[in-house]
Amino acid sequence: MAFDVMIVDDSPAMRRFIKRVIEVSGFTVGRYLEAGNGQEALDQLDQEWVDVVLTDINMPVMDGEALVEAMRQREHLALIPVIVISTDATEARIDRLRSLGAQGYVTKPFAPERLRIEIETVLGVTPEGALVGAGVEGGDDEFSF
Amino acid sequence: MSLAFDRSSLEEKLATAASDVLETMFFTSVEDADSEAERLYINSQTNRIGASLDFHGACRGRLALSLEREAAQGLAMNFFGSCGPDGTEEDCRNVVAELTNMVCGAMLSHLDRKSIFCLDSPKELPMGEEAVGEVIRDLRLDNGLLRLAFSLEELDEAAGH
Repeated sequence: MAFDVMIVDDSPAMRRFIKRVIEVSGFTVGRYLEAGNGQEALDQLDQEWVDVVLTDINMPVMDGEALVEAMRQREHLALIPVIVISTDATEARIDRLRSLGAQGYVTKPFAPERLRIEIETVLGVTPEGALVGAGVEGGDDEFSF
Repeated sequence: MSLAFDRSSLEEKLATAASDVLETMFFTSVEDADSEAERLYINSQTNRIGASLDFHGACRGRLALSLEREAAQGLAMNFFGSCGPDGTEEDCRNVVAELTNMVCGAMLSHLDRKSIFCLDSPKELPMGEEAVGEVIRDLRLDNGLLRLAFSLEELDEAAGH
């Protein structure tokens, strides 16, 4: 099964890194949509469905918190899972994002395995297509970059 | 808000934050580079690339860093792997900006896990301008020397407490 993924980050380097991590994780991705801030993401999401949104917090124009809030207020976007990827590891920020409706939170720096596990958890399937929690082996496999 | 850290504590947290980021996401080894000779070497270098970033929220301040262009190219190649263009000027600038962002975020998380900070977008340092700040820490990477410079608005009050 192929997933459509949106990556929202004002850093082109980080967007490229996240794509690479997803690719080496083994997930089958249909399309990558990319946005440089929350407003660009919303504009695209009004036209295109994705299976998961990965977003930074600190961005110009519209930050990640505002994006999560806006998605939860829009009926057609409310069910799309959001994983926040941020340098901000403070408890206050993580609690706030979770209360706004983010399902996952990955703090930078992160090992590639950490992001894979978060995506597996949010999507409910492993890269091999098995349901998460169904006793599938291989969850701690090392990546080879 | 008062962050009661002395200078050596801030230096240590800065080095720890940078090492975490560099080892985890840039796959590079990191060692202290605190000799006078290395400081003089950095100060004599002209072919360096750097960025700075202002933060605010629970406290305000700035993180800046700079490194040799060759070291930046090495970091870019590690960060992007073998599937993209390696070590171009644009890659280097983007990677140095992202490194600045990550080190600053990690540093602030080491300082205070309870408060919320906002980070501005990183800005490239003008050519020939070195990273400056109240707290300086130099690190040796695989391909060159990295200078970190960190300033907190309350640093003068907090120093020595």
